Amino acid sequence: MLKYRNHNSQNVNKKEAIVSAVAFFLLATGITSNAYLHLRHIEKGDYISIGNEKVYIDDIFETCRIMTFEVNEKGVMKNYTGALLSDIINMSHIENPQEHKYVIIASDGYQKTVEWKDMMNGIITEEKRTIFPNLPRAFWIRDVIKIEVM
Amino acid sequence: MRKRIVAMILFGSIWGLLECSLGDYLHSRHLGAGIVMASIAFIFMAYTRYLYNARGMQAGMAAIAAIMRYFNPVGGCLLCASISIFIEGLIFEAIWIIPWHHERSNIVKVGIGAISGYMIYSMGFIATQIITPMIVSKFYLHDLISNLPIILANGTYALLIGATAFPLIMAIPKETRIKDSLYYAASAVLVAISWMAVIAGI
Repeated sequence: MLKYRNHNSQNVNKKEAIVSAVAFFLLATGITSNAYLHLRHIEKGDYISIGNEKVYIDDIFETCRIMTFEVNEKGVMKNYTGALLSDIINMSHIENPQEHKYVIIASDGYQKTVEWKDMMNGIITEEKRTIFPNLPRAFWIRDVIKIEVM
Repeated sequence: MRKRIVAMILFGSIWGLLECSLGDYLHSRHLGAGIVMASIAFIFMAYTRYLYNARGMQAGMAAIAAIMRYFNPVGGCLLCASISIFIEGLIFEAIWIIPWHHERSNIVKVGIGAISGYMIYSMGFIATQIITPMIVSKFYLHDLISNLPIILANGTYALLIGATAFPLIMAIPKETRIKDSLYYAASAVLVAISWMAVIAGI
């Protein structure tokens, strides 16, 4: 009986040790990732970096075509107005823009890659949020700071 | 068995309703919708596993909630949310192959709550980052790698909620004194209300 109890208690201790180790590992991963994000945080400005160029928001809205998209949100049609993303790329003198892919990056590091056809159907609002009516919301990036050309 | 199936439909429907209403509300106000909804999902799944002790039931609940989310006529990114919900159910089933709800050790309860919370949130999010682009355009590995620190960092909150919630769930008494006839009738009414609310776009 005593032997059985000892064996059972050893099993519980082993289980506790394994579960605790995994939980602490995940906690450490989470804390490390938070610290990394804090260090990676990029200063925001009134511009967007496209390739090596800085394109100012005011210039974007003066130069590019302004489009309005109507999107169904919770049964209510909502209008989003912004500068056409393909015009912004053209403005930054990228050669053969249709041959590239574009990585849109937010201030927190969140990013999504889109193709030229998406850029032709996407806008960026004055709040620096991309709107792609033909793509899921995961592609609607807030606080865009950079567009990398691939 | 019949009771478990009814419970699966009931809890799946309520979960789906919460995803469509509370989830959308939190998302539109940038209030950590993913973390809150993944934590609610874990609480629902852990509670029903503790109550009914049936493997596969939680994946079924997740499938029902995912279907409700996908066919909800309003709200954003239906595909991402549906994928995420279903994956959450599968991750829960994978972690809970071992019947953790029979554990008496508080350390194990806290630990398994933390692991479940973190894994359900982060794996659900990672799955949407892979599957959604694959369906609508193309999946780029560099996007996932770049977004990984955000997912892993936010998972910390789900971990803390899971670690707190699971020991509390296990403290709820199991015995209920509801008559079968009342149980089935109340379940049917609640399921009907949930589905009508989702179809109406609440």
